[in-house]
Amino acid sequence: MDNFHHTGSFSYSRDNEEINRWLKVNGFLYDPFAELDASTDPYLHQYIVQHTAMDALWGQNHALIFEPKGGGKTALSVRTAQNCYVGQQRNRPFPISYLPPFLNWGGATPLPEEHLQAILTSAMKQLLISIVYRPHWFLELNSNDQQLIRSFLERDLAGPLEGFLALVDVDPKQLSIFRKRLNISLPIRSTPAVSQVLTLRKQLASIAPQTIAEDTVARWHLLRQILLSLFRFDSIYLLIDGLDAGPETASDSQALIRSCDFIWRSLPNWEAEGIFVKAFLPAESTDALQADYAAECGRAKYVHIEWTEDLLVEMLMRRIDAATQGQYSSFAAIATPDLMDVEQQIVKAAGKVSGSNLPREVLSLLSHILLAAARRSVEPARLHYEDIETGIRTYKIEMSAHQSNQQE
Amino acid sequence: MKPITETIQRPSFDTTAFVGRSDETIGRSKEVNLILTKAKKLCDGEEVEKRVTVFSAETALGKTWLLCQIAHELSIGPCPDRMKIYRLDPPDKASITDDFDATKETKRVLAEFAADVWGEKIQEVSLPELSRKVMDVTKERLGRYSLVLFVDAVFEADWNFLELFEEHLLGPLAIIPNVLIVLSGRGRKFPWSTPELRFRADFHDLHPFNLDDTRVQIERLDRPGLAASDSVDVIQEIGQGVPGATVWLVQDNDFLKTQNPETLDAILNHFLESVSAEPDNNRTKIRGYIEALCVLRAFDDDRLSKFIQVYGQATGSSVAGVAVSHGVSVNIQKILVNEALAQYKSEEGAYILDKYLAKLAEEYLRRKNPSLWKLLHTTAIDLYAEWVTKYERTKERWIVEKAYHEGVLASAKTD
Repeated sequence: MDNFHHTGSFSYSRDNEEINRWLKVNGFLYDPFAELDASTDPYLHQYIVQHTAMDALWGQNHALIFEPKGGGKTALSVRTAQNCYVGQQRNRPFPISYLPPFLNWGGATPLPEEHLQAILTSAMKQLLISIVYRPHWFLELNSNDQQLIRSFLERDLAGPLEGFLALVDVDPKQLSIFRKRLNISLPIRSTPAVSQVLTLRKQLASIAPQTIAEDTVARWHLLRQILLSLFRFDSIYLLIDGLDAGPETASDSQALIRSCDFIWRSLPNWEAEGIFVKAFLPAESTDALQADYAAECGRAKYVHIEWTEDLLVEMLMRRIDAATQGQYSSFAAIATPDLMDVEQQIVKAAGKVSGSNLPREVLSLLSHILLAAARRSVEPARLHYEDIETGIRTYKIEMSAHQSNQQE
Repeated sequence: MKPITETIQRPSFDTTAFVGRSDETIGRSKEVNLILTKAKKLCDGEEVEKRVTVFSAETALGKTWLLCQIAHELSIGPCPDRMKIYRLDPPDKASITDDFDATKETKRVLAEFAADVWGEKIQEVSLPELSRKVMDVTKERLGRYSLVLFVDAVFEADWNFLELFEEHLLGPLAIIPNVLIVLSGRGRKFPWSTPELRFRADFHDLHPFNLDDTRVQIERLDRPGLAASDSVDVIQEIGQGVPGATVWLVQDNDFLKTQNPETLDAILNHFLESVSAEPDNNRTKIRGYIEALCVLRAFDDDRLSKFIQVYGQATGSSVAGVAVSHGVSVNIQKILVNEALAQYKSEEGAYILDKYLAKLAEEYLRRKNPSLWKLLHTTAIDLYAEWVTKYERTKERWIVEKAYHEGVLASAKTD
């Protein structure tokens, strides 16, 4: 049990409708425990708890964040990217969310050019979504610069620009399809004026692309110039996440670190050039990185995130507080008087049953408890001690079943 | 430019006795110096690490006084000719009607900011466009200036407004190196998205004045004789060092002689007027809720229902009627939390009232209606006695609460 971890594909069973009804009766405006995928959680900014990590992440420095699997690395990455879109100005960093694509098909030792090409593709996706949400960033450029951007997008987007532009429409649903097509689910809070989006689309479509350097390294330098000199972003954040998703890197920390050899070696130069790597790495890769790249990573900020019981309790309480709009921050407020320290009890039980202190496990157990409460409840819909007992029992059963499936 | 030190027309404070005095700021020197130090660094061209400062405090602890005093000190140094000082007033709850439009209000605030600070009149445009124009002009004009922006009562503002305000003005300003932002507020903090406003901000809680500070405050209120007398102890005990309460207690000569509960009644009403945007009739109800709950150190749904019912029956008031349903008690909780008169305390596992307000209310009840005051404590003793038997797992807690109320009644007998 100690080594048991859920993977991202595991989803706990829950009856959303019953739980939602129970939460609603108790003053929740939404279910803050349902969304396990941070990248699509629209409320993430309200209840993020890892302030130490955020402090290290935000700024002109490389940051290496080590977290256990399922510990919320993606939440931090998404949050960092979101922070880049506060306001209408270009005086924030430009985020490039980078998941090395070759890891999925077994290429764990990519060449520098392969990395750069993949980063260029990610950057163009991010640039396209950026100018769709902030059309004035593009429309304010002179025609030569607009042509350069248009050509770059045409060259390095993973698909024809026209195909993406066809999805940019006045209908908000279309924007959501557009984001899905780009595979960027990052929620950007302020949406653009329809007229500006249509002008942007028209403008992009009307510009004839020019020839652009074929050499990947040359285009990489050009990208840096475009982002920092032409758009005048404050800096570039390269947000690296998901390195443990590939077959060769999932269980081999050395292979995982080696797969980004080029990136670690580039850190000193990139810092001077205004490019800052924010890498979200599995906790067990710390030694491998230190062993081979201590010098290159010397100026980076290191943060080791450990989900303590206190932090997990805080995570639950912030979610309750956000979803009830401050009405209360603990289930104790809606519990019978014989229940105290509800969140502490849930966190301890999740750790004991699953063998690990992880948000995913806590949320999983909580869903069982909420379901028990929802099914038992008569008005008023209070939380009873027996709901916690029932929840723990059904959570254990599910865990055992899941473990058996994995062993088979 | 809006005069930063102008007295804001709210009943809770009168800045005239305190702002602009050349002698030391009462009880808040540390906070004033904190901002002055940051401002001096900006004037000297040095980097300031935490440019956003947040002062949090409960009712009438002098948040607005503090902001006015800081603004005054800034206006006479360290570089007044190179510093723009601006107070921005977010729409408070009183101004929010059914047709309140957060976008429209944000546009108004942005347009006023551009006009007042930079003398720029910006034509009617969309909010994102207005934001761009305001920030463009700010960056263009800021040049040799530093800007210190004050936003008072920020957490009490409409949160839909705050979301837009952050996105279109406060967030962009927070990342400009020569801008200082000073926020003050009461109650639950808004979950800002901008790192500079959230985990990189400098958070400070304001505490009540100690006896010496209260004495100085009374001197400043042109009552030197009173300041030298033993009455200061009474004022400190009842007012609890809350500067707003001291002002009102000092104004009433009779109270100091007779300790007439009517003065406390007036103070309670003043407090509520200054913090609650509710119409008068609703405020009367809120006053009733506070009186009903004031003897409790913490309350939840069960306790709230019980005490509202007992209070209603004893006073014959229409606070909640005789039977208090779950829905009614939840609604009362909501009202108290929304007005920031109560907040959930996780360490208690329950709600607590604004402690200064609760103490004033209990003092009032004890003097005005001692039998009701006693009844409420007795009710608490009976309820906790029942819970000690009924809830085995948490009985230790209820034993402590029961003993507290028994102790209060025992001391009253001794007195």
